[in-house]
Amino acid sequence: MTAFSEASRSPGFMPPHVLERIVSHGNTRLQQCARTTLQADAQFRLRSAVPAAARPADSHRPGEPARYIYDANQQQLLPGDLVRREDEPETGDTAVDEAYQWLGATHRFYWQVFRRDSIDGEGMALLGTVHYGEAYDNAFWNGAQMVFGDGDGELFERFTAALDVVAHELTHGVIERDAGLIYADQSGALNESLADVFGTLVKQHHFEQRVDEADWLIGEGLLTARVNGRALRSMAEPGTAYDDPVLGRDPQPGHMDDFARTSSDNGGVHINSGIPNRAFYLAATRLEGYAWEQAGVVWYDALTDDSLQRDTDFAAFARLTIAHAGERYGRGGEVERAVASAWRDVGVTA
Amino acid sequence: MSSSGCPPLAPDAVLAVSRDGGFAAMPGLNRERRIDCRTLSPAQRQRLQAVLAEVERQSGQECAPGADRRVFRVVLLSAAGQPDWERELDESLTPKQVIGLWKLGMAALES
Ligand SMILES: [Zn+2]
Repeated sequence: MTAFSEASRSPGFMPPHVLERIVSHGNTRLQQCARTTLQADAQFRLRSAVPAAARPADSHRPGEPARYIYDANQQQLLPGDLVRREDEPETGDTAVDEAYQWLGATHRFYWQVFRRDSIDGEGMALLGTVHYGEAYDNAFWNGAQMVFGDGDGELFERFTAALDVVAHELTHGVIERDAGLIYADQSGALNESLADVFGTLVKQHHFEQRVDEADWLIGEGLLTARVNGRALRSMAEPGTAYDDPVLGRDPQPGHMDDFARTSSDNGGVHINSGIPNRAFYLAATRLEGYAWEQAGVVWYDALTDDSLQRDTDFAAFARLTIAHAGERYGRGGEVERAVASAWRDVGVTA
Repeated sequence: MSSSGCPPLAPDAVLAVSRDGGFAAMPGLNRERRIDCRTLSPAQRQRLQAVLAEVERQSGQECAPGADRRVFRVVLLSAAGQPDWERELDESLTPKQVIGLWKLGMAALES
């Protein structure tokens, strides 16, 4: 698939304009992170984040996952105790069994839709830790595995409760492997958007939802009944997912006119992702049917394209999707037109 | 902004600690805790100074890989509100006392 793409484009240097742009935020940590991202070979990083001896075996059956679920027992040490392996029965621990089930659904999606076998395309083991930390309101990808908190119970339920959240985190592994998008500014917001796009596609695929049946929400079911909100993000209408006295109001823009300039959240990566999220929603809904069959394929072609730069901006990514839409479904055809008009409507392209 | 070590805590300095980022990055979760050094005893100020030295040590470390990770931001403000020193730390590298300060204020350094 893309086995050599990283090696052929993992530069040992930082393109000067990237450094310059991140320096303009006056943020030394971001600058350091960008340097790390650019210098490290993604494959090397994926494999070396966990010592080889400690890492469990990959899958040797093509198209079958190798899942390993760990329990951190409310500590913040990774990976924790191994509590469920591939083919083992349910444990009765909801978070453990949800992580196992949703990692399976995500693996199935990538295999059935794109013939991609796990994160690296080669059956890489899927590691997920649950019960991480105390009342921990987050889920993340640490470069080697997925991690899920239990939520505090007041605002957030456990982070394994929603399939798209688990799929979002696994997709960060795919993005890191194939594109190595720098996790800051526009390339970071695109990284976030791609995790949302494929996260929601996994959900639509699992529940067999057409574009008009899907909710296009990210993290639906994660907020408790006490919160005034439907989800964490809305791809259809960014900025409308929640409006709550404690959590505040959803700050996502759905158009370049409202692009947020901020130094927090790595340059607003979870805020500005609303713009490419809405572009995907518009393209998919204009094409009707199942979103993973055309729009999803176009986005995946762009994500796995060797010419996708690690510091890409929205416009360059948009051009790549339009080119792939034309290549795969015909130049000037319905798909290309739907994709091009979606990016125009969110103000990314003219 | 200064990239050298943490300056000594002036008696009228203000320390601001905040957290941002993560999969659930939401504005209400980014609240900032402010600690006004004028309200502190010399002994408390000394404890706080030690915590800042630890922040300085940790901030030299390599950045944590991955995505959706949270970050703590520690800013030292002069009495006039001018930022004199600022550091960001990945959550996994953030000293416990800093997280305690953010959650509970100075009470976190009492025990
Ligand atoms: Zn993410």
